[in-house]
Amino acid sequence: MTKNAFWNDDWMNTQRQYWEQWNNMQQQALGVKQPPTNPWEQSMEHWWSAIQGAVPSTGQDFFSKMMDQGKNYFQMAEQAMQAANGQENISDAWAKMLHGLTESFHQTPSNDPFKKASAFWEMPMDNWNRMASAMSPVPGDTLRGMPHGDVKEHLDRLLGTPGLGYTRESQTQYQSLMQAAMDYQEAMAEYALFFSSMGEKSTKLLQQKIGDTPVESARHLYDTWVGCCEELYAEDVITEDYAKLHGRLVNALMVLKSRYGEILNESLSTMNIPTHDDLRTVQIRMQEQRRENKKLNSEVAALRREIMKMQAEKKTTDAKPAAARTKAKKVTKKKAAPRKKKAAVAKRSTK
Amino acid sequence: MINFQIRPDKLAEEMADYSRKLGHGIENLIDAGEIDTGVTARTAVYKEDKLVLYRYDRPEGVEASNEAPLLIVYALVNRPYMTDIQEDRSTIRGLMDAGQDVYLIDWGYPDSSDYALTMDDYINGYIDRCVDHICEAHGLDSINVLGICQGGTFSLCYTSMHQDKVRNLVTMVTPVDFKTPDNLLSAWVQHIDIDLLVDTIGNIPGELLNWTFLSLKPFSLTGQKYVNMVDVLDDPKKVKNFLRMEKWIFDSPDQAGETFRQFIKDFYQKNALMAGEVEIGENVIDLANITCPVLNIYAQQDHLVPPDASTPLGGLVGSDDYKELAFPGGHIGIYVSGRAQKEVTPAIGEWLSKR
Repeated sequence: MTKNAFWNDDWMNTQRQYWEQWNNMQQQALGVKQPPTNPWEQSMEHWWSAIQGAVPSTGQDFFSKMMDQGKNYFQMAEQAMQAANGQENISDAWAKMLHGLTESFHQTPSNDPFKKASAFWEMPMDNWNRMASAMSPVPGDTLRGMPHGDVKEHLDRLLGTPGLGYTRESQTQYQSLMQAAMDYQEAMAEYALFFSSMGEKSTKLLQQKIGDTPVESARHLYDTWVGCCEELYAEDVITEDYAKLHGRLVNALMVLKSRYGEILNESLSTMNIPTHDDLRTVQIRMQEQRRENKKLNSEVAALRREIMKMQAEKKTTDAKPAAARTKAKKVTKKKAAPRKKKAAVAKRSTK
Repeated sequence: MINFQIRPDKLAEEMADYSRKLGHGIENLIDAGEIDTGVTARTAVYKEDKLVLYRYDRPEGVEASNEAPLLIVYALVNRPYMTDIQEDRSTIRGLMDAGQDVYLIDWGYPDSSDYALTMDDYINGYIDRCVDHICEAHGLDSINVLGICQGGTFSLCYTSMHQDKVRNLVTMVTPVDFKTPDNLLSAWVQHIDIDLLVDTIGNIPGELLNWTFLSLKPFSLTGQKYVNMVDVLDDPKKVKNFLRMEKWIFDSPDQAGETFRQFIKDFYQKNALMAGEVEIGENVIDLANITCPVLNIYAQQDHLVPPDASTPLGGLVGSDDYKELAFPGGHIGIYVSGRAQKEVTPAIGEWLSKR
């Protein structure tokens, strides 16, 4: 495996050339139109896709995460380098990179070189989407592109129109589902905005933190960045504002799911298939039954123990007179012996 | 002035170093094989529904010095093999070495048929029947109980209702005051409509709990941790230990809906345990009913159950024999760190054996 490793000498040379190209661009302010592509990421991805099949499933996710995070921290350093294009010194380039990062939290056009670093602040949102996907029939980010702002206001009014005619119940259900979907989308947008504004603050904090300390490695940069993000995150998510935002997001998802459920129940009911409500009733009744059975079992066990105890006591009680009788008999027998002895003596004396 | 000194050649070298470690590490990962969980031999002594009560097998020739066995009541969240995660990091083994005869409740994985299980079912049902089973097996009227995290809260409720069956109570990283200012979990659930949540999804999926726990420190727990791991990838033992911990973190059973409803509403939202207003079945939980000796262990850097959430216990129990033990570590470190093996389990064993 190591023969075909992606970190061999050829790769090192290519990587050096890649960085030298950037370095030249800095020094000579060439202003190249198309930046070179980074061979490291490409090589690593090729290598991973080739060997992935040999890795046990338990380790695949773990290894992918290490590679993704590796990319994350090198991308930061790379962006700093790229920002140096046309700048006279690296510090100015760094300032430009941070400025670009801050800007990217306001708007993230598709070709934005800072998009990947700013996406770091989407991690909480991504985590949410994964979780929401696991609980939904649709992917967690399905609703991210739904209209909001002015368009949403118009749609709100439209969806508030009462249903008419024979299908009014059904219309109302679908309107309600649409409304819930839009409310959820709005809650997700608020949630994303919260992290976006936090991301902007984190770049300022990063600037402060690295102000005096020389940044000598990509790892140092990455660790400092993570530290800044965690520090700001911890401060902001303990607030009442965040708690409300968090509550709105979870509640909005639940309303959406429950609207889905109502429509699904309706369909199931028409096909004579047990609905969610039917199942809930069965679950509750089953637990009541189980509880009752356990209580009865416990009472039966207690009664059984009581009976066994009584039986044991009875045996002891019955055994006592019997033992007393036996003892009495033994005593009688013992007492009789001397008599025999006496009788024998008498017999002998009569001889 | 920003002092930025990353040079292109240094950056290339750093990338190469990272890549080499990944490349070598992949072989250790392939060799890691199946990840085993729980290392100490044990015997299932009682089963009920999905619950299994285990008794840990003592090494041959080694007798428990404490006459009263110890029952570990773990949380419903995550799996109890955290207490026995690897040979040299096992709370169970430490307790056995300290002379205790150890039992543990494994709650299993609730499914939709367990949706309607209540806290009353768990505490006055399952826990009580396990205690009865152990008492009967040992010919005793009472045993020692060790509750962990949520299991600690359950143990407190149990002891307040069945004090006669608990000889000594140990609580580890156990929340009592659920509304301290530094409790992130508590802050986050205050505005969630729990009735809507449970009515809509029934049992609470493990994914939701994972998301919540990872959200406590998202950048470290879902990112930086993996970068740090690259540094130790060349050590097969460390790789295996890391994978074992990863398995545990994401091995989150679903939560029975009705129990979750009561636990979050009464404990987190109303903080009713502090107010003496929690109702379990027909009983109101009054911690003053706890009169047996209590050892309360908390972790000083615990971000799930902050120390302030645990320490109010001392002022609430009716016991004259209350002791606290502060461990300099986190919520997980209290079981798995090397220091915990040296300090926590021997301290529990000694405290129990004296009583």
